[in-house]
Amino acid sequence: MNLNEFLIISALLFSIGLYGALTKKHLVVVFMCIELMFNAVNLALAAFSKYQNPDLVNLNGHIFVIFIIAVAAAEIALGLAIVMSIYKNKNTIFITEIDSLKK
Amino acid sequence: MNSELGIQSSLLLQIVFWIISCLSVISALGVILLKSVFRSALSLIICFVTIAAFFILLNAEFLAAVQILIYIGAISVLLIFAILFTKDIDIQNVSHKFNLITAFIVGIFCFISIYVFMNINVVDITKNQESVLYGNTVNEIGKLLLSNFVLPFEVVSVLLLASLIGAFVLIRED
Repeated sequence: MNLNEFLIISALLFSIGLYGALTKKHLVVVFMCIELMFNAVNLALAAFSKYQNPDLVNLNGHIFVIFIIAVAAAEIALGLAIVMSIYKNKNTIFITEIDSLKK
Repeated sequence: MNSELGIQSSLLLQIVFWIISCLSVISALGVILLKSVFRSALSLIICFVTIAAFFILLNAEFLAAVQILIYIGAISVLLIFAILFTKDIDIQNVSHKFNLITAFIVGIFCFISIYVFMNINVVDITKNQESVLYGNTVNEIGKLLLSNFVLPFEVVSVLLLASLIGAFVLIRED
């Protein structure tokens, strides 16, 4: 259990989330994959915060994780409000059918 | 006796780490592979729990508590409500038609990053890792949030307030 293993798990989770966010058609699934990517980054930051130089001990990585979680909460609240608004107006949830700006 | 106990506990930690890793990657794969959107949301909740367990393994107990309170308590409920409020909940979890080339590019990205992370040299910064452990991280985080990081702290509070008001305005019936 060292820094490399945590970073490898983080890279795997980030890649899975990136694939889902790029290929899925359902808007809520895209949001779920973005949350997965946020979690992978948080895991990497917490791992860096533990395995750092002992002469420079501080908890800046934890502070970054707290700010990322706060911004993710704001993003998911606004994003799901936009999803519900789109669903009320256009009656669809697939991102391939939400193409008003292309026409 | 003491070193033997330390070796045993580190072996136990290693086993726990690998169990949590397998569970985390499998549940993350479930998010993108399961057919039902509701089931993939449940799989995402399992992935959040495993991330909280990773935080506990990393001596970040406060982050584990925050993860469980915010992600599992709030964000998962929001996602499940959004799935339930939009038409039929067994709607298929479908992909675009160009997902093969995306899988290829993301796979290349994943292999490059794993190769880099396996070959990173961390020997000199982890040799003395026991001194990094904190007894109580909550005190330190509270002091840091109100001294060095007080401006981002206030800005984030304004951001949260603005986004919640924006969400109410968007959802409101009128």
